[in-house]
Amino acid sequence: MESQEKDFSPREVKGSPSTERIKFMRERYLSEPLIIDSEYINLYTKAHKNTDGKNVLERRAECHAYALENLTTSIKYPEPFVGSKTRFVRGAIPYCNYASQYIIREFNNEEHEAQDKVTDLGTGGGIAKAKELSQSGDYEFFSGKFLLSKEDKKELKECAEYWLGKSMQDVGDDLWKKVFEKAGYIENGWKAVLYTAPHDPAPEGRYVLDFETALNEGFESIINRMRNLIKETVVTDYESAEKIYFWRAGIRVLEATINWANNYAKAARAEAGKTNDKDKKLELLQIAERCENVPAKRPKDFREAMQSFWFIYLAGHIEGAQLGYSPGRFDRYMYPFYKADKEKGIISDIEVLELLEALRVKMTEIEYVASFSWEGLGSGNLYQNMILGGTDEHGRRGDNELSKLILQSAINCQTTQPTLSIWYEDTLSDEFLLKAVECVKTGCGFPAWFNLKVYIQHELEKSKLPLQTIRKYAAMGGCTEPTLEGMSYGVVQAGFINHMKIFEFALNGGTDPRTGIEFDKTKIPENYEELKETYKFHLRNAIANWQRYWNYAMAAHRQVCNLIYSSVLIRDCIGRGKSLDDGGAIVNGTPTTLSTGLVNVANSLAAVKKLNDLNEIREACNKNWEGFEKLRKKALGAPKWGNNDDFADEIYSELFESYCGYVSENKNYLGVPYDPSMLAISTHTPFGKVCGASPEGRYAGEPLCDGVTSPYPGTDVNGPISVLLSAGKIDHTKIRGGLHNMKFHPTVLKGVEGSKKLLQLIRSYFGYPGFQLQFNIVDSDMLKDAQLHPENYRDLIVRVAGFSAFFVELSKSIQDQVIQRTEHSI
Amino acid sequence: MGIIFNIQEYAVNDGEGIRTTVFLKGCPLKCDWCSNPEGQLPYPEIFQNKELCIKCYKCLEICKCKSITISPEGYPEFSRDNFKNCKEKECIEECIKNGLKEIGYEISAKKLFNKIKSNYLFYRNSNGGITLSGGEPFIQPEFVREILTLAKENGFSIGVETCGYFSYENVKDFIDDFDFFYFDIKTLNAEKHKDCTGLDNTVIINNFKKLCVNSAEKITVSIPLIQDFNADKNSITEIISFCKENNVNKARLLAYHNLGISKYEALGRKYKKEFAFISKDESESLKNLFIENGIQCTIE
Repeated sequence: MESQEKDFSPREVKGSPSTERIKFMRERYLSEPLIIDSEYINLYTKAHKNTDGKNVLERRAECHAYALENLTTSIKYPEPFVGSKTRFVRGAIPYCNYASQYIIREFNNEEHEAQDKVTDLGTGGGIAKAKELSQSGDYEFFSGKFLLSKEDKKELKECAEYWLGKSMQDVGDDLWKKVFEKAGYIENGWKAVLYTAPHDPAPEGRYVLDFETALNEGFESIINRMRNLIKETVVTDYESAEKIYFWRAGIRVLEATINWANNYAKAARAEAGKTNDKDKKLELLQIAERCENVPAKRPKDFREAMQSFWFIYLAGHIEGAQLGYSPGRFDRYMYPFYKADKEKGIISDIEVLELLEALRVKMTEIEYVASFSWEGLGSGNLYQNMILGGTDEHGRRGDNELSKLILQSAINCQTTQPTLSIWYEDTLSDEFLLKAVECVKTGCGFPAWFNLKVYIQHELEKSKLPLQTIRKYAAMGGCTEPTLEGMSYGVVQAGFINHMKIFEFALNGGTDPRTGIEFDKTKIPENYEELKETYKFHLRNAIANWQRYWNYAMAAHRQVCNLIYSSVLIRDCIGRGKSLDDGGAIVNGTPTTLSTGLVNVANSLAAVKKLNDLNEIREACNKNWEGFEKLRKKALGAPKWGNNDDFADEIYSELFESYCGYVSENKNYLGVPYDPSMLAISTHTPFGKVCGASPEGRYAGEPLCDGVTSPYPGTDVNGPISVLLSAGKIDHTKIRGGLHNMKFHPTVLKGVEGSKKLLQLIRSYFGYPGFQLQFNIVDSDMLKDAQLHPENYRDLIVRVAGFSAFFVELSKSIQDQVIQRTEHSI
Repeated sequence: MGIIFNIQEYAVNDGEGIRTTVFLKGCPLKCDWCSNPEGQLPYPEIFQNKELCIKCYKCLEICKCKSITISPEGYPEFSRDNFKNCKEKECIEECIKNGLKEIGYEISAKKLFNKIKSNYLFYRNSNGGITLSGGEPFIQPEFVREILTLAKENGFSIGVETCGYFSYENVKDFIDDFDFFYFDIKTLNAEKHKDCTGLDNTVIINNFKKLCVNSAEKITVSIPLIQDFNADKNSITEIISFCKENNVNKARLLAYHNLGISKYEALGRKYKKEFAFISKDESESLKNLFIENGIQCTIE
């Protein structure tokens, strides 16, 4: 890379894997294609056929347990700890039990969902490799980016057909499409791309298991706890009987997880028997010993804790179609193991670093497959978020030596997963904070920075839990959504609402101009006030309908895909004898409603207010500004969000408050009010594609804003501080999550002085208090060169919207967005 | 009232902490290497980005002051003197591609200060503040004095970047109140100075000495490194001696770059002369000369 970057301002920090082992693992990952593995779902389906009539919790547990116990164990030497989701390096499981329609459609080469037309996928890197191999004839190309072998195709096809009518999606559809009075609105909403496509194929995630208990107590002890509860419980009614079923289901999955670990022990011993290499043999035998001990028992040392963590974590990843399933406060719950070993002198930081770098590779190897349009929206990212720093329960600084090593591992071993975040507090140590900035300077886009104070206030208000609990367990589940580790319900309503589409309804009497579909008929507004109120009317309806629809889907989730393993490892499901879907978690308020494009609506309303001729603007938008170029110039000149201009900022704040209010008016499946959130992942591109020109000066089809509080690219003309002053005006405590992209040229952050100034910037913004900041520190000329010569930039990572991705695997339109984001330079 | 041409936020190379740099318009010097030519003339100018021009000639149609003709390449060409006196400036509004802009505007010290004051939390957390740059700030002494007073009332740090060419008499009452100075010393050779900047350096050298009487410790000498002009051991050694004579012990080297070149065309001027770039090794060895002589020195 050295020579190719010479014409650009170089990245100040560039690391490389700290050992040959990690270098090998990373290279292996980078050279492997993406591939579909149908083994798990095939086993799961087999078990499902044999368990008809069982209680739903036990049936779900049995299917997963059977599949897990029978998975091929794949030891990918020289990995220092073992366990893989699939038989391949970059394998994905097609979860037919969640949804199988999209798989059948893919096989039939049918046109996909209405939204596929507006979806772009990446084409470079491992995706290109898959395409290349699919030419060989042994494989087919699946869902735009995966390889699928002939045998797997046969199995997968049978599974997909079996699950038609039985999958969570089909069971849900059978309910809401028949009984929900607004079903037509939802289906039209998909056609108009008011909403993201059905997300049944990958709905799980946004939670963190109780790793602390799972590691320290060990599964055998947890199983015993459940056995005792069964003994002590007197069955008197449906509820008490259901508890017994739940505990039995829980015991079954934990036992299966222990068996699965033991299978790895056997495989490692077998491998050891086959080799004459002394070191390799010893290593494999040590791995076998660890797999015999954990996760059944408490780990003896840090190495064993790493193995245990990986099994505990991965088993949850296998049980459900996860997005945003996260390791949480890893530096907190792993620290005691690290500290003990360091005190005993049995591990060095260099050895710890190698394990942490291996973890990065293994977490990046996990892939997922979902419907085509969801792949595009998520850019294939898994949003596994590891958050560092924060405080302990007393409010004392939460960073430690392990936190710094984790940052170092990300500097050394540049991979997209896990994404790192910082819970920012003024008490964090300087060395930790400077190390975090050093990591940002690699250009990989993480860690992202989150203001702990803001989240604490949010959670005090929402969950009313004690302050000390919130401090200790505050974590991040998914790209930017905070959650309480080990005690929060997961499945959020992962779908997004398109604000600009709602604005189009308002502008055009309740009809979508692109498809001609009428939603709720409203009067054509004649002025700013009427337009704003009409927009709010449609917003409120669009939110309420979307939330109510998802509650039906959750009813199907409870029947078909209730998570048993995760339930057992989230407090207080065992104590209450209830699964997550039955309200077992301590916090059930996490499910969020997500939306994109509010900045564009605010800017549009500001332009309408400023120009004060709505009829002319409407006509101009309908004609995509053709013949209205002078008006467009005026519209572009109207006040815009992100310039510390109250004219636009007050409109944004008002809409923000309305949004938060409407979201909280409705209850989720667990009877708790929905919690508002805004982020973008990659929705801003397809959402923008289906929207006509907007009064702010945007042309038809152009992307929407890629953040929550960041300005629309090119409209922030006053500089980065004004941008943050605008963003600081909304009440961030009202919302779970938030996203603010900033891009700096590498020269702005030069040296330790530059790092300190970035920290001062973060600290100041968090004083307002802002909630989130993330940075791209890459020369845009370099990114343009990477578009032309992807082969030279296979490992270049950039921040997109709440997640980091390999630049060359992003779709062209998302790449352009990253390049366009205003670059703050000196 | 004063005239400025830019306010830059998160300026990280103009003093301690996070700063807002205000660029005042108008400078007595016209350095060959100047990378902010829009800062030279003390009045608003038209800034024409030909890359955006679609040759629709709407500007020409609407122009009443007869500023515009068509160049041989087909672009509108401005008579800058006519434009200077134009009141309407309708051509700018007429350009739908935003290829025409006016650069430079008048603003009162109070209004300017209110704008930059809102960044206070960033200044407070970083020991940052305001830096006046340009152009040459001190040729607008009243405006500068008002901003300085407002900054002091609010407890903000305030510094100034000066080319040194100004009337000391006009600023002597307040100049020592600034928290720091970046003072340009381009060369001590009067002839060379006149040759490359348009003016002789006597005023600059005298002003420097006067300022050093009370404020030597607040001064950083700022030196653009230009090939065949001052980027040699002798020229730099002279500057070092001059610093030492006046008890100044901080210096900053700015290596020549030509990034301002496109702005000349947009302003209807010619980039006078391109210089060779200074290598990293060369600038490092010149920096070491300062350090060997006990003067702190950085390269930007």
